[in-house]
Amino acid sequence: MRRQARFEAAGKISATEAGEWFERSRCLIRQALAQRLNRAADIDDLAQEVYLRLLRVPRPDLVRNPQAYLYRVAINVAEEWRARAAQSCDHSSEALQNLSAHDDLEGDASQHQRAQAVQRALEALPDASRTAVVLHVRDGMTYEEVAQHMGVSRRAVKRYVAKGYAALRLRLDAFASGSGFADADR
Amino acid sequence: MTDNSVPIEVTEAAAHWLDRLRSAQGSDGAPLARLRNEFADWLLRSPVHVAEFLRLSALETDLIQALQTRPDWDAALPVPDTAKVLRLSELAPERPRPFAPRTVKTRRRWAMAAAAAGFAATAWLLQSTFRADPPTVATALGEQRSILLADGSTMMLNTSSAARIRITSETRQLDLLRGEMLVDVAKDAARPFRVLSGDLVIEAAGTRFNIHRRADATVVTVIEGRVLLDRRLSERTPTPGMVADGARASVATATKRLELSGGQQAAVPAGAAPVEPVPANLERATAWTERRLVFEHETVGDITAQFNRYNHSRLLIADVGLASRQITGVLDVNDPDAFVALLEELDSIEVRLTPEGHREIWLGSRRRE
Repeated sequence: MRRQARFEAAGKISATEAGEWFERSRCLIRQALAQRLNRAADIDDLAQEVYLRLLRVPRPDLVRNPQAYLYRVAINVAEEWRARAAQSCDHSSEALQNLSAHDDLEGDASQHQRAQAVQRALEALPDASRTAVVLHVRDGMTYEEVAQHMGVSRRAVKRYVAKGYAALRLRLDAFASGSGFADADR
Repeated sequence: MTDNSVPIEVTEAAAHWLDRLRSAQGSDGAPLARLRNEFADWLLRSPVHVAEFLRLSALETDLIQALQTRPDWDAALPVPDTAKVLRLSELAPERPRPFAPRTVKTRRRWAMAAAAAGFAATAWLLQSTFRADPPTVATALGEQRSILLADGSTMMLNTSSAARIRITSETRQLDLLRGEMLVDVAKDAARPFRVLSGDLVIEAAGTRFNIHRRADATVVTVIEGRVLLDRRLSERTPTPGMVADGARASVATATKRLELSGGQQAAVPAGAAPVEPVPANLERATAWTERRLVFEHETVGDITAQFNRYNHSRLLIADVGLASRQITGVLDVNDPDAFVALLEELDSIEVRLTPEGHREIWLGSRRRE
């Protein structure tokens, strides 16, 4: 049962607005997105809705900054669904204009728990994947640079990172659903 | 859990896009126009792409936060044997870093040695778990599985497929027992990588290729790198029932190895010589990994057979004229309804449900009367 597609929110965002919004506080937006996705019951459902809205966006608007547009729409959809679930129809996209770092509803405690879960999941990765992920994410190295440092090909790095992400995601999903850590290497 | 079904190709692509969008941000802070265009195309191709990109965006943010709150993170890793384990702290990047400002040059060599030792140890550990009977992996109808092999290669199995895995310290071999797989081979000059499909041997160095074992032939498509096609020695003799001329020709050509490189495809009929390689439609050959079916001037009958490979409820085209109609398009393998809807657009059709729950498709009533 797919939720009925609603497009009005996507229509309200102008391309330049989304772009500026993104450039202004890239980091905060990523945080807001992560928080909302971590709370979303089903990311696949959410992505389906986001996808439908992206299809409706005029192409010139979308290509001006597709990443910004995608995040914007995803946050909108997540907020709308949350608002709908809380039976509050008062939601407006103005509230999203003023995203702040302290707008998290999770609280520091559960954020701390999540960070710990991420650390534990990282520790459980195979050496090569963990090294590649840490160098890439923490130290901001490109695949090329990681490849040089590890003495492997760029393609191997690409694979290590992807496999690392896939395994991390699996473990963190298990954490989010409260079932503890799944065995990711089935 | 839905995540298990995300193919590693999609994860790889999503991670790759995150990396490219980040590193392509110029002085004006905006990625290049062409990159943005390509990225938009990729997003719009499938909701699976959107989901994976969002997931990884969130995951990277979580990772950055987790790593920031514990700057001593790599020192706290469990270190069972310092000689064998790659220490992350040995791999300081050259650019300035907030923590651990040490010299780089001398440590680089250590890092290489440690890396080599670490990989060797890991590889050995993984191998030893495969010492027992060669495991067989199989997928049910509609199921796909991505499997990480002991040597770092990946194998993705399509629907209704089975493969036996034999990875030892000397050789790497997969037997494709039935169905289709996409193999991404890790480079290892000392251990050739072979895939067997019946009596056909496909040998590869570091490369990526797709093998589809059909009833009548095995179709090999190379996406990247090169592979060699050969027959197993014991089975090079022709089958007794063959026509004399054909048999001679078959022996002569079958003993010759056929080489395929990236972008090429060859269909090898069972027990016969491989045909000349032809240029392949790579998007189409690998579309199944994203659960899409790409058709280019294919008949309705062939397309129906493709859908029936993935779905329990079958479609039967009852009209020969309709079955031989050619169409072009991209469809979701999980969605036979969309295909039926497409047929409805082509012509007036009538769908009848059989007692077994399959659907028979007839041309519309006005045609038959």
